[in-house]
Amino acid sequence: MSENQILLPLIALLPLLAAGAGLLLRRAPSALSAMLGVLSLIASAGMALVVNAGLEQAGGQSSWMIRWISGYSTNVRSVPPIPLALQVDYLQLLFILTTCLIGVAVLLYALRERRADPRAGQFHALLTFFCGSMLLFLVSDTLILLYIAWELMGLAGYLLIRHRGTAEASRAARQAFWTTRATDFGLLFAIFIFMFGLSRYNVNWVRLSQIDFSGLSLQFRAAMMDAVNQDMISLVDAQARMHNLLHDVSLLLGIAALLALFAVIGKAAQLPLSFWLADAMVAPAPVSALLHSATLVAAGPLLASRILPGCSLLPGSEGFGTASLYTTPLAAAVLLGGLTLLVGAISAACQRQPKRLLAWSTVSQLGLCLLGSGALAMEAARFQLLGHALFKAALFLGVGIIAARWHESRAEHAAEHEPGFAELQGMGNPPLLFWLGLLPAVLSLAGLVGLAGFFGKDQILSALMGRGAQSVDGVGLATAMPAMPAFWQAGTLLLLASIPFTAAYCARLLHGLWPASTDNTEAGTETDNTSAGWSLPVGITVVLALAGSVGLAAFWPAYRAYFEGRAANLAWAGNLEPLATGLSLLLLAIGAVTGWNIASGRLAGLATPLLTGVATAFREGLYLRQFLTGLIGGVGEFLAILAGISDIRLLDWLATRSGAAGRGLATAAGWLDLHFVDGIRWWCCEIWWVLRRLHGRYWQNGQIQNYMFILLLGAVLICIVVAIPLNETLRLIIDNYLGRYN
Amino acid sequence: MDQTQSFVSFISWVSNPLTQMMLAPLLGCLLICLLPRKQVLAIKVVALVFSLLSLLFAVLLVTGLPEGAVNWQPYAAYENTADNVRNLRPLGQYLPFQPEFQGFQYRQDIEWMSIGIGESRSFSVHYDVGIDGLSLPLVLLTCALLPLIVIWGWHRQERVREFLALTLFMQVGLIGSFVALDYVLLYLFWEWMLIPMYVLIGGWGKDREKAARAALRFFVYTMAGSVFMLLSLIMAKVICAGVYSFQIPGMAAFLLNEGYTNVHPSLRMFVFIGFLLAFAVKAPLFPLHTWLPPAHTQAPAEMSVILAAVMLKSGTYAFLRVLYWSFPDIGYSVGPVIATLAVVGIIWGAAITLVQTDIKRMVAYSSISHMGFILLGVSAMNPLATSGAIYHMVGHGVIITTLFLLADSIERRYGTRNVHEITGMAAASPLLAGMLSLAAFAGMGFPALAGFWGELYSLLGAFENGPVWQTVLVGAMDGSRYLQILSAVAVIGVLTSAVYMISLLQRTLPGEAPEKAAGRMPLREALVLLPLGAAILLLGIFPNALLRMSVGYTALLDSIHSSGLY
Repeated sequence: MSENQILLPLIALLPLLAAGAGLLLRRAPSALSAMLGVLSLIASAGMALVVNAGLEQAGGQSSWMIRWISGYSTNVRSVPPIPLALQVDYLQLLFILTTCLIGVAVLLYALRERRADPRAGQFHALLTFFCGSMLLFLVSDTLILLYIAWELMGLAGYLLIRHRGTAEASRAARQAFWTTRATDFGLLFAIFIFMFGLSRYNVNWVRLSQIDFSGLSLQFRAAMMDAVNQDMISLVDAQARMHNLLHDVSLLLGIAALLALFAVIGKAAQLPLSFWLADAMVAPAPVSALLHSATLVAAGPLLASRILPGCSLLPGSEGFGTASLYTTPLAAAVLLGGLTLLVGAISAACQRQPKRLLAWSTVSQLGLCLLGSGALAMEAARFQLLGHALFKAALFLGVGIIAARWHESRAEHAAEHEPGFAELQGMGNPPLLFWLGLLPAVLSLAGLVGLAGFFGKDQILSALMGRGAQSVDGVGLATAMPAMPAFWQAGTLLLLASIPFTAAYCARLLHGLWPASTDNTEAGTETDNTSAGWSLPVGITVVLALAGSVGLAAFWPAYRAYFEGRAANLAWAGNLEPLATGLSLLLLAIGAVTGWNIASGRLAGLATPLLTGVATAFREGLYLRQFLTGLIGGVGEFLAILAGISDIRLLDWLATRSGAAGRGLATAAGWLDLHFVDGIRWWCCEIWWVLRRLHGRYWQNGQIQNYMFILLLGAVLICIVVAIPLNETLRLIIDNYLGRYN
Repeated sequence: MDQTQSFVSFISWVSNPLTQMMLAPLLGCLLICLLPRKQVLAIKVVALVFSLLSLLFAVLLVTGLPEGAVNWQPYAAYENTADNVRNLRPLGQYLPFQPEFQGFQYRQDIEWMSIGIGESRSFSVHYDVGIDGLSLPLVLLTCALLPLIVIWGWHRQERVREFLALTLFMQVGLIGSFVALDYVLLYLFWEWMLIPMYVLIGGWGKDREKAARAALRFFVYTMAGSVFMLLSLIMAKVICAGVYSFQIPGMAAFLLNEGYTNVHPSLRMFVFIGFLLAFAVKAPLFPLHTWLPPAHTQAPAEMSVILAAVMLKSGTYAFLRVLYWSFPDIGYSVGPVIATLAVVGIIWGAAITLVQTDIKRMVAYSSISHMGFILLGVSAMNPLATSGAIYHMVGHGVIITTLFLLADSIERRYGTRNVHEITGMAAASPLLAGMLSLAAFAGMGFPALAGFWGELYSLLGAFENGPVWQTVLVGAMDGSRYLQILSAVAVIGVLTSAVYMISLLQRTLPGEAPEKAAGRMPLREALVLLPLGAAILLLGIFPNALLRMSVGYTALLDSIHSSGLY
């Protein structure tokens, strides 16, 4: 191991620190924070190159690790400590370099575009922060760190999208943040399963988990076989145990991969959550360029390509090959990616603003990358992602320049209105040279032979058609897949169907930006006036476009040879598939011609009400935003209000009622006290009073006969009282004395 | 007891760092009472000095005095032989806190009163204090917050003496309830902190009428809980035949061994439920939370802080200290119910926060939601979840303090707490807006901020959960699976917190600020808010500093939970 490892944390840390410094230096000129960002990104790129130089000796991987969170070891169980681990290989370094390159280009561009913005310093710092968090995502190996970087990107995206501060920007930012954060919990729970179900604490282990688990299953099988040979258990029992083990492991891997895929769908704006990316177009051009190319959305397919192969297949387990569960994540990736590819392409073709067109094109292209991951053509998917990052950044910057010039020529800085194709016609369109500079990028996006966009797409197509065995991330997977599963066939159809639409929107874009329609008389002079200071951004854009389409295409043989060399035993099918290529070229030509003609208004007869309605639906992203936000937001708000009301009206009512019940008891006690305890005294008084009354009325009322009667009654009473004992006494006397004399 | 002996025990009492930590605010309180009412500045300075002194003692508990400094050791080490928890260090010495040690440090046990002598002895109450990985973070939090809220109230000019004297008086009860290791002492401190709080909410609230009602409601709820605690306390003493003292470790040792085999389960259940009710009101667990929002809304900002950051934690602290230590088996069987209520509370609180318009009420309901994570972590019963719960007690304490103080600052600035009337904070005071953003993101559990690790570990722990869960059946569902589903459901609460926090930021930050609201943040506010912001960041980036503190405690608890008894 070389001492280059120490550079790994710095790669991510430098831009993050530069961003922090930029945010703190509020009073400093905005150029300072941009320059800090540019310098830090250049330094990161330099360090990545240094690491790259030492990678050969380090065995293709360089890693760095420190203690982070201590584990537990009790007498019962132990949780291993979670280190802060960083790791890069060639591919990640390639992405790091790309991110730095695009970051520098975007920052330089932003310096020009945000000249009039009072909060430009903060803006540049946030752009740097965005790149820094992407770099952190790229170098991180520990799963929790990966999750943190993943969330930091969401935060940076949120802050940048709402930079304009308008209500629309706030809404778009909110929507982007909530959508991605909601789906991020998929990744969090996938990480939980990896950590506790499968003891994988970092990405690299996840990636290698097939190998590990197949090794484990082989060991387990050998142990079982030994046990069977020694008659310790029966063969059936051993097979059952084997099956159970494989089933459990595959189940956990499959669930984790599906959960991670859920996060990818949110982050990469796949269907049905694509709407947030299109709405995020309210952000300034540099944000879009960064968001759509090297950061945030690109993290989605990248994560898929890092996690999916480790989770979807468990080779070397014959007893398990028949169950379909283990292919579910792949099928989900292929179908979702394919559908998004097609729908995104159609939606892009129906757009009226260049920026929204590019947004839907990103959605569509990321669908292609996800489709490639699902087809286990990981290298091709990543190559496509790289190329897409470069030429999409160029296109966004190019469209941004055009829109900015349009704004400047109309002196509408404050409007922050995104011009549509119709408004751009004849106003502020760039010179022919600029159009020609953007041309390779657009052609590459369409997938023309020989340009970067072609190789990735073609390779994914041939992988889908099952003509080549797949190399999975250089891991050396002997695939246990059936020759051509149904979902790959579906993926092939979706990919082929998307090609004409892709070509159509590329033609639409080229037509919309065509300089020939420029009114040369006075607009030309205006353009000259406003073109001052735009030469650097134009140069950057053209360089990016050329690098992304032509440069990367020239790099393709080396790229392929690298993976061929490392995984030579995998029979990497690098050769072109004549049928697939021919078919895709034919579709491309049809789409391009149709698209150009529609754009120039020659096919206006096609605009039947039905077709127009369909186009409107696709332009609005199939109304998924309205549907989902209405559903979730409406129901959620209703439930929240319900909870808020019932907290006061029900729970608090119950509590106070129980207090009131106590009060009722107290009242009852008071009543009892008054009427029973005190009542005894009262009744005594009552009776006494009645007696007094009776006494007064009937007895002592002054009539002599009453007195005489009472006297008589008394005498009789006395007689009775006296006579009875007297009678007894007399009887005794008679019995005892008189009788003696009888 | 002759005079020499009482002098000896007095000296050893005073020389205990924990006692000193409690004596400092008490002394400050007395001094403030002696000062003339007009000497406002002197009163404030005294309060600040003594609360800082208490903080100094608390920090010394962790770091220890450096070599060569005064480490006095007047009498020999007290060796507690009554139970299996050994004393680690001689008294009176400040040595660094040892996180791995599975037991109490700085422990001191002095017999306070006893009935009967020798054979006829019936019970004794001890002044028994000690500190471990569970209580130390909370003590640190309490002692760190007090100076901050004294500074925050520096502008106060009327009835300062009463306010600060009561605040310091309350601090004694707060610290005491975290370090007490005797049930009677715990009960004493538990009630001790209640009374000043009642007076402070009722007497210093904004709207006198409403504040008095809220304070009464708070008092009645908590008092009702305390009654159950007293009942359980007596009942526990009755069933612990042969244990003379009310000491928590001694009774726990009995309940875990002889008590487990000899005492009828229903009796132990009775004791458990009594304690549970008392702690659940304080925590607060879901249906018993309705006292909290009015109390928070009406209390002065400083008291909202103490209430949310420290007093609620004493409920969850007692869950761990009493219930899950002495009755782990009942904890297992009741655990799913508590976890369910906790998750209901998480979502319920978050949902209601969503529709609040009063900032303080928002923060109060979000506090209910976040306390649910602590309770979920507590009821999951494994080291991860427990350490997550302990972390979140502190993390949430810091975040909720920041939010309440910010709400106060905003109210003072704008003259209203209604979020619809507050705009342009970013223009009015960028520092205030920045702090609010930081606290809001921390409050939604954003990674690498103080709210993240607690929620993460609570969810993780609930997801992983203990070995015994697998045998507990909840309906038709396996206990383990049930808790996993619960932790997945709890995510709705985290997500909702993102919604309400972002909505809050987007309502209040952009736009034009009214004339009166603009202006720099006063120095005293910045002095309080900046350390809090730093704490939010540092706790998030270096979680291990706090997580490591409770390693020994969680290991001990785990070995109790997983011992062969169950």
